Amino acid sequence: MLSAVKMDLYRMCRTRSFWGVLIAMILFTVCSVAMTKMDTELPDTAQTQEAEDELFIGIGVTVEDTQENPLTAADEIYAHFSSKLPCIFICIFAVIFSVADFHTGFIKTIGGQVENRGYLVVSKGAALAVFTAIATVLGTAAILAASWVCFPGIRLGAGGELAVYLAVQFLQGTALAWIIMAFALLTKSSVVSVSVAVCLCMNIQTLFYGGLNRIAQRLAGDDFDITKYTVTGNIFYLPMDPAGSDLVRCILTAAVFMAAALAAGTAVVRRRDI
Amino acid sequence: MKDYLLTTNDLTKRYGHQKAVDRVSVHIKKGAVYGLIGRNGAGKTTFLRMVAGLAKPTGGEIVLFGCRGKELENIRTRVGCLIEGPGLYPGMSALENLRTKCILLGIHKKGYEEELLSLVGLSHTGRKKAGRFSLGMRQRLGIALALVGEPDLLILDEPVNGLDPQGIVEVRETIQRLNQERNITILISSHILEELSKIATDYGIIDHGSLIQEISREELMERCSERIEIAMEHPERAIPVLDRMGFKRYQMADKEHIYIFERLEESAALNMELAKAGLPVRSIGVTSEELENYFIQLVGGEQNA
Repeated sequence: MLSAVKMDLYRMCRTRSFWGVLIAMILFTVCSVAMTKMDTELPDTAQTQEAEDELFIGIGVTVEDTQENPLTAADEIYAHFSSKLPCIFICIFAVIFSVADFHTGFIKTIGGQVENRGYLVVSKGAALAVFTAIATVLGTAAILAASWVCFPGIRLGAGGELAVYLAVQFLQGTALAWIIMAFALLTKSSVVSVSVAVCLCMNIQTLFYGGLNRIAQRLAGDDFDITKYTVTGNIFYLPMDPAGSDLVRCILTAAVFMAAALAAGTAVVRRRDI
Repeated sequence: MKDYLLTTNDLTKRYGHQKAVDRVSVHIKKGAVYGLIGRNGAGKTTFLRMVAGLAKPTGGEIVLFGCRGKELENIRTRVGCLIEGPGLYPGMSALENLRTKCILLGIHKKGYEEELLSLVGLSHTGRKKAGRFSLGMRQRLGIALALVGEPDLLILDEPVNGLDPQGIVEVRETIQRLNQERNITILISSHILEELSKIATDYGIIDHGSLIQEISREELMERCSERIEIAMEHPERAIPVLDRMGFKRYQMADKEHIYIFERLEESAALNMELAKAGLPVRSIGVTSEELENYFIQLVGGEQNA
C-alpha cells in the first residue's frame, strides 16, 4: 500500500491540475483579502456581522475592523477558512485527481496487477490529505501576505489558537476531500462531482438540513442542529477558540465521514469492473 | 495440462441477461503468441479483461500459472496488459509514465525505465509529453507500461488498431521481439486477420461471445493452403486410390469433400484413376482459401462478417 501512496504522490506533483489549482486558490485568496479591505472601508460594514452566525447560501468572507476590535491577520484567516473558499479548490482538485486514472485509462494498466484495488483508493486519500495540508499552508501564507500588504501594520492575533484552528480545519478539509473523492469514484463523473462539491461549499444543503432539523428537533429536542454533525457545518461553525467539546465533536464527525468515504470508495473500486 | 500457461474453463460474463462471453475455454501454451480473432463486439475485450483481472467472471474458471480462484491474486503481477488503448497520463513524459507504474510495483532498479523505452523504440522521446505522441508511439508506450514488472504473460487488445502501416510494422516487430527474446507468452486480440497471421502461433476464434474454434498456425495454414479439392459422394471410397497413388497428406473435409495438400500438378491423373476405380467425381480442381474467407465461413457467412 505504501507503494501506491508513493505512486499517487509522484503523479500528483506532476499533474498540471495540482499546480493550476494551487495557483488559482492563491490568486482568489489574495483577491478576496483585497475585497475585505474594500468592505472594511464601507460605512455599513457592521450590518454584515449580524448575519455572521447564520449559515447562508453562497460564499461570503466577512471581517470586522473596529476601534474596539481591530482586525488581525488571524481574523482574516478565520474568515476565509470558515467561508470554505479554500475548500472549493480542494474539492475541485479532489475530483480531478480521483478520476484521472479512470479517464486516462491508466487504471487498466495497473488495476489487474495490484493485490487489492482498495489500496488505490486509500492512496488517493493519502495524496489528497497531503494536498489539503499544502493548500492549508499556502492558503494561510497567501492570506498573511495579502493582509500585510492590504492592511499595513496589521497584527497576527492569537497565534496559538490559530494553529489549533488550522489543524482542525485541515482535518475537516481532508474529510470533505475524501467525501468528494468517494462521490467521484461512485459516479465516475467529474461534472456531477464538481457540481456537488460546489453546492456543498456554498451551503446549498442547508435547505435539506432545515427539513431534517425539524424532524430531529421533534425527536431529540430543540437544541439539536444537524449541521453541527456535518463536515461542512463544522468548517463554518468552528470558532477560533473552540471549547473542548467542540473539538471532540469536530474531530469525531470528520473521522466518521472519512471512514465512511473510504469504505464506500474502496468497496466501489474493488467490486466494480474496470 | 502442465504445458498450459493459461486455461479458461467455461469462462462466462453476463451483463444483465446478455452474455458477453459465453463458456469460453481456451488453452494457451507457454511461449505461444495466441491470437484471439473475432469481429467487433464478439467478446474479445471482455474475455481479456477477465483474464487480466480487470473484470470479474460471472461463471467458469481461470487457471493461470497453475493458480486458480483466490490464488490468482498472488500472481497478478506476472500479467501485463494493454487493453482498450494505452492508458497514459498525457501531461507526463514517457519516462514519467513508466516511473509511475514502477513506483507502484516497487521497482527501483536504476535505468529500468530507459531500458524499457529502448526496447519499444521510444528512448529518443526525452521530455516530450505523452499527449503529444503519435498513436503508434502511444501504443508502444502502452506496451512498455504493460512490460513493467517483467510479466510472463502479456495481454494486448487490438494493439495495431488505428495505426498506419509503419506503426503496424513497429508494433508487430516489438511483439515478435518480446516473444522470441524474452520468451513472453502473448495473448493478442485483433479483427485484422492478415496482421494476426504474421505473428500468432495459435488462434482462438470467438463470435457472439462463444469460442468457435481453437487452432494452431500449422492447422490453419493447412486449411487455408493450396490443395486439390475433390467433390464426390462417399469420399472415403477414394482413400484406397489415394493410398495406391502414394498420396500421404490428405484430409476428409466433410461428407462430400476430400482435400489433398501435395502434388497439386497431378489432379488430372488423379481424376483418371478415380474414374477407373468407378468413383464418379462431381468436380476436381486446385483451390486455396483466404484466411478471411475461412474466418467468415466459421462465423456463419458473409452477412455476419
